[in-house]
Amino acid sequence: MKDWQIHWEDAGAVLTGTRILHPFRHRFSQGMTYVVGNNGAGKSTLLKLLTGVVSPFEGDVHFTRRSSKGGREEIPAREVRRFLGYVPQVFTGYPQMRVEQYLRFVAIHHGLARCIISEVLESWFRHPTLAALRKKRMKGLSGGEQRKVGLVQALLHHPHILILDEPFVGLDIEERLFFQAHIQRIAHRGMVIMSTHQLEDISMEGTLCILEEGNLIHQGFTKVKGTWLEDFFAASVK
Amino acid sequence: MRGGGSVKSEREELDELEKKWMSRMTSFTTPVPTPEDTLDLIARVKEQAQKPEKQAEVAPSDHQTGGWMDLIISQWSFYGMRSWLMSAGWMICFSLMIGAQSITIVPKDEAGVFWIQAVTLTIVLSIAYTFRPQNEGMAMLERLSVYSLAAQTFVRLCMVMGFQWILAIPFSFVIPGLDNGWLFLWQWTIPLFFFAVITFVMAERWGMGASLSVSLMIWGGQWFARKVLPEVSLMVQTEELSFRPVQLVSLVVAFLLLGAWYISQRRREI
Repeated sequence: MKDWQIHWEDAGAVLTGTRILHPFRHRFSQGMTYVVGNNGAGKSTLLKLLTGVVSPFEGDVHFTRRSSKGGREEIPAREVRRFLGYVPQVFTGYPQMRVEQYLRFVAIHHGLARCIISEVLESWFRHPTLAALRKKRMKGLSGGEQRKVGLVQALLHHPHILILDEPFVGLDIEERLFFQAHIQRIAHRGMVIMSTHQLEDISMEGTLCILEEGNLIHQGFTKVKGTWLEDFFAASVK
Repeated sequence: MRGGGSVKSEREELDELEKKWMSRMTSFTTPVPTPEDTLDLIARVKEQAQKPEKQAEVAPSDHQTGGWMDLIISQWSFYGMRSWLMSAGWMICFSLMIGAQSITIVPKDEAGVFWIQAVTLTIVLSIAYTFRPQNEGMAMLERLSVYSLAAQTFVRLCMVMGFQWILAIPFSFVIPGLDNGWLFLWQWTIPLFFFAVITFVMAERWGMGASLSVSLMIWGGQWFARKVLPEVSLMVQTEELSFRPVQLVSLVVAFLLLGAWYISQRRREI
């Protein structure tokens, strides 16, 4: 994976006249980034803008990666889509579809070759908690089950950039471990940006961004061995 | 973003942040597990750690530029087999009903207009169902597809419209009592296309609620207009003087609306 970066250049967001995000500068890099903040702090809006499909009210959000010549090249948001996985805060799938049918639909939209879709799906459905969902209709799934399908649809094509909006809500410990393992694999090779308001979700070393009322009030590195927030900022960026 | 300053001020800042966030973070209280639960969980986690579920790796070369056939397959499943069957069943029902009535009660000419009214109502409702509002998360995921939103939406529209059209063709030729023939095919095809396009374009522009209301008003208005003001009605008989001009204007309006939508959609995506 080619060392992706997302450049947040004074981007801000306004929704129906209300300021959601104030402009700031930041560079999201390889590895794990946790975005924490209260409800209404602007986490979900930040993540939506990071997908590149929503334009900021002001400023710019753009993607770069290492080019074959050694420098960095800017990649249009449209081209980034095939390398990007996203779990929205509210994920329902299409109610009329069965889980397998929905994931097949998503795989096509991720641009996976038709000949490998079945193999990819089979490998996911080997896991017992997902196998049980295979023939269920999306409208019949519980909140936790919808979340699992939401995570699988984002991981299906092994994205280089993974953006997750509170992905573990409603999952039990075993399911969290299962998905954390996959997310960690992507974080080792690519970029994962995850919003959360639960400390136990912060299980990897990485960058921590704290949002408050639409402002990025602090950024630093997480230190998982530590016990509390002080440790997260032990090596804070100045 | 704050940073820098002396060690002391940073320390103070951290203390302050810690106090502030301690109360804000959602507390997580785990239920006290029984010893059996703990052993069971350890065994399962160990098993998972020893034998990691390996997902089929997808190399970037496995990604392809989405072909039209893939897009069509995906959009077929989006509408759902149940919906396809329901619209087919509904079309069979009203075609048989009108066919039966046209032999005994309704004059032949009127039967054809009744049938066109039913077909156009079917297409309005089918489009409304297909493009029903989604939550924001799903709308975002659609936009993250390798296919442009314009291409996805256009294929979906064509499939729903095409399916209803193909389904209606045999009925328009075989239902007893209708003025079966090529001219009748032309007579109902244009209204079907016109209603599909206006319902779709208005839904994209102003939302499905407004679109459905206006489309049904136009649809209802046609019914009255054919008696009161046949010059603006799509439901007139083929021998009426206004038939060809009205059909032609409807066709042009529908194409213009569709073209304008496609151009604006592409421009927005670029």
